[in-house]
Amino acid sequence: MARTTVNEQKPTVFIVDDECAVRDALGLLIESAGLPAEGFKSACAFLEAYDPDRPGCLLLDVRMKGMSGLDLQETLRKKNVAIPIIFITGHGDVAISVRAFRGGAVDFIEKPFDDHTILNRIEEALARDAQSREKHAAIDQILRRYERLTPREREVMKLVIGSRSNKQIAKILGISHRTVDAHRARVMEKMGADSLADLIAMALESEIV
Amino acid sequence: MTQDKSKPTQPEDLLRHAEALLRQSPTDLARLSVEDVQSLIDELRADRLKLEQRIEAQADELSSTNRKLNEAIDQIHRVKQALSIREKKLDAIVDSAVDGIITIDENGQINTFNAASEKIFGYSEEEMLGRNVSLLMPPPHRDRHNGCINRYLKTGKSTIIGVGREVEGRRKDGSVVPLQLSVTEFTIGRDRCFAGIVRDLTEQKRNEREKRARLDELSHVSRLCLVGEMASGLAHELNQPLTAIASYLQACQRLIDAGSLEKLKPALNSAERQALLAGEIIRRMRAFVSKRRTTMAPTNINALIQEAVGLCEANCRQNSVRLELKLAEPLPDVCVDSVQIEQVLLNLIRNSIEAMAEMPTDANRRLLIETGSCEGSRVQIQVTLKDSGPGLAGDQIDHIFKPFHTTKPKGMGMGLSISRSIIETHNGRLWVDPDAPDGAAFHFTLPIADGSDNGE
Ligand SMILES: Nc1ncnc2c1ncn2[C@@H]1O[C@H](COP(=O)(O)OP(=O)(O)OP(=O)(O)O)[C@@H](O)[C@H]1O
Ligand SMILES: [Mg+2]
Repeated sequence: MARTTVNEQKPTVFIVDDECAVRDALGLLIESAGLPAEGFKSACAFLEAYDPDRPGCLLLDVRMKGMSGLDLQETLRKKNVAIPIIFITGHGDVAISVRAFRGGAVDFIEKPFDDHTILNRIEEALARDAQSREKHAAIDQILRRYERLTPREREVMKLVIGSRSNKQIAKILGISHRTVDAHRARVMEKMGADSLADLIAMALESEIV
Repeated sequence: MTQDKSKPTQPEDLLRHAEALLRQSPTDLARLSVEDVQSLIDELRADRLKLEQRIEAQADELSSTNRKLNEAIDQIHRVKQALSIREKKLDAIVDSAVDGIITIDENGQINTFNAASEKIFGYSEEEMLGRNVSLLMPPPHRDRHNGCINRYLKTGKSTIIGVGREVEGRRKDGSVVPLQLSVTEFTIGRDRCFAGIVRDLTEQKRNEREKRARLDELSHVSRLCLVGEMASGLAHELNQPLTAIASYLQACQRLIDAGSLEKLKPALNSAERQALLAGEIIRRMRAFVSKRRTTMAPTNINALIQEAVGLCEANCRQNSVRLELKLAEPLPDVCVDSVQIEQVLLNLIRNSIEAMAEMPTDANRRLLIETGSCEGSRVQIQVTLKDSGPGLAGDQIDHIFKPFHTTKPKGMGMGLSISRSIIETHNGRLWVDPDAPDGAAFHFTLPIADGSDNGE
C-alpha cells in the first residue's frame, strides 16, 4: 500500500450526474453549506480527473447516459478506490438499489431530497472517508515499522504474539533465554508497542500474522 | 281552221292537230297535198322521237330519285334501330347501375329514378316520377333546393355541379342517409335538365367509424401500455427538474442566511427555468396519457407551430439550438385535433434538439420549421422540420417509425411511431426525407378543412 500520511486537504464532494441542472444545483447547495464541490457530467469524466489521494465522497447518479453509476462503482472497486459513494436514485429504482448495496454502496438518497438529509449523508460519508483514511494511514505506519525488523526479530515477534513464553521461544529457536529477552525488547521498541496487548492489536490490524 | 298558220310546237298539240286532221272528211283530206301530209308525218315522227327521249330521261330521273329515297329509308331504319339499341343499353345501364341516377328538369321535377335510387330511398319509380326532388332531402336543405336551382339558372353559380360532395338524403321512412352526390347538367331541346348520381355512403361511413374507433382504442391501449413503461421514464424525467429546483431553493436559503445575495439571482433564475421545464413535461405526459375524445376543429397550423415552439424555447436555448420559422401566410385551415398535432410537433422538435445535442458544441445547431401547401388529389398543408444534426443512416430509416426503436439511453422509441399514427388518423402522411443532404428532414401533410357547408 502506497499511502503515506493522513491527507490534510479539505474533503471535496464529487458530483457525477449527466443532468446539467441537477449537477449545478447540487453544487451550489453543497458550496452554500461550506464544502467544496466538483461536478462531472459523466462517469468517464470523473474517472479521468479523479486522484484517489484526494479525500471526499462521491454523489453518484444511478441512471446516466453511457457508463451508469453502478458501472462506475464497479470500476472503482476493481481499482481499489475506497471513496464513499452516495447514490442518487429516481424513485422506484429498487432493483438497482439492491445491486448497488451488494456492490458495497454506502448510501442511497432518493430524488428529490431535502438539504438536511443530503448534507447529513454527505457529512457521514466524509467522516467515514476520514476514518478509513486514518485507518489506512495507521496500517501503513505499522507495516513500515514491521519492515524495519530483522528476520530473527520478525520470528520472535510472531512467537510472542502466539502467546509463547520466553522459555518456549528459546527452545523453538535454539537460542539462549537472554537472547530472546533482548530480541523481544527490540521488537517492542521498534514497533512502538507499550504492551503485549498493544503489539497483538497492531498485528491483527495490519494482518501481519 | 288555223292549224296551218300556227304550227303546233308541243308534241301534245301536234297530236291534237293530227287527230283533227284525221277527223276531217275525205274531201277535206283530199285537199291536202301529198307534201303537206308527208311533212306532217315527218313532223309527227320527229316529235315522237323527242317525246320518247324526254320520257326516257324522266324515267331515269325518277328511278334515281327512287333509289335515293330507298337508301334514305334504309338509313332511317338503321338509325332507328341503332337508337333503340342505344336506348335499351342506356336503360339497362341506368337500371343496373349501382349508383342511384336521378334526372330532373329546371323545376326540380323527377324524370328518371333508377332501380338503385329506389333501393337507396325506398320510393318506387312510379311514386317519384313527376315529383319534386326536394322530397329526397332532409328538412333544412329541402326548402333551399329550388332556390338553389333558380340561383344557378340565373347566375350560373353552383356549389355542387361538376364538384361531387357528401350530402344527406332522406328516405321514404324519414331516416337520413349519407350520400356522395355528383350533378351534371344537360339540355334536351331548349330545356335544361340535371342528372344526379348518388352513392349510398352508409356502409363506408360505418367502416370509417369502426376504423376510427379501433384506432382510438388502439392508440389508447398502446398509450396505457406505455403508461407503465413510461412511468419510470417520466418520473425520472420529472425528477430531474424537481431535484434541481429543490436544491436551488435550499441553496438560496443558505445564501440568504450567509448574506451572499449576489449569487441569489442566478440560482433563482435557474430554479424558475427548471420549474417551467417540469411543467412542460407534465403537460406532455397528460396530453399523451389521457384518453380524450379527439376533437377535430379547423385550426391554423402556423399558430399551432408557434405554440409548440413556445414550449420548446427553453429547451432550445439550453442546447444552443437556433430555431427558424418559414411559415407561409396565409394558409387555409386544417381540420385537426390540435392537442394531438401539437404532440407530433413537440415530438419532432424534441428529436431534433436531442439529435443536435450530440453534436460538438461549436457546430451550427439549427432547426428550420417550414409550412406550405401542396397540390395533390386534394389541397394539403405540408410541414417540414429540417435540422442540422447528424441525420439518419439509410438502414436506420426503416426502423425509426417502429415502436420502441430508440438509440437513446433514456428514450422510449415511441415518439415517431405515435406521431405517425396521429398524422395517419388525420388522413395525412408523416415521412422522413431519405436524401436530406445534411441533418434530418421530417415532413408531414394534413388535408385542408372543408370550408363549405353541407347540403344543397
Ligand atoms: N431529427 C433526428 N435526427 C437524427 N435521428 C433521429 C431524429 N429523430 C429521430 N431520430 C432517431 O429515431 C429514433 C426514434 O425516435 P423516436 O422519437 O421514435 O424515439 P426516441 O426519441 O428515441 O424516444 P422517445 O421520443 O420515446 O423519448 C431515435 O432514437 C433516433 O435514433
Ligand atoms: Mg423522440
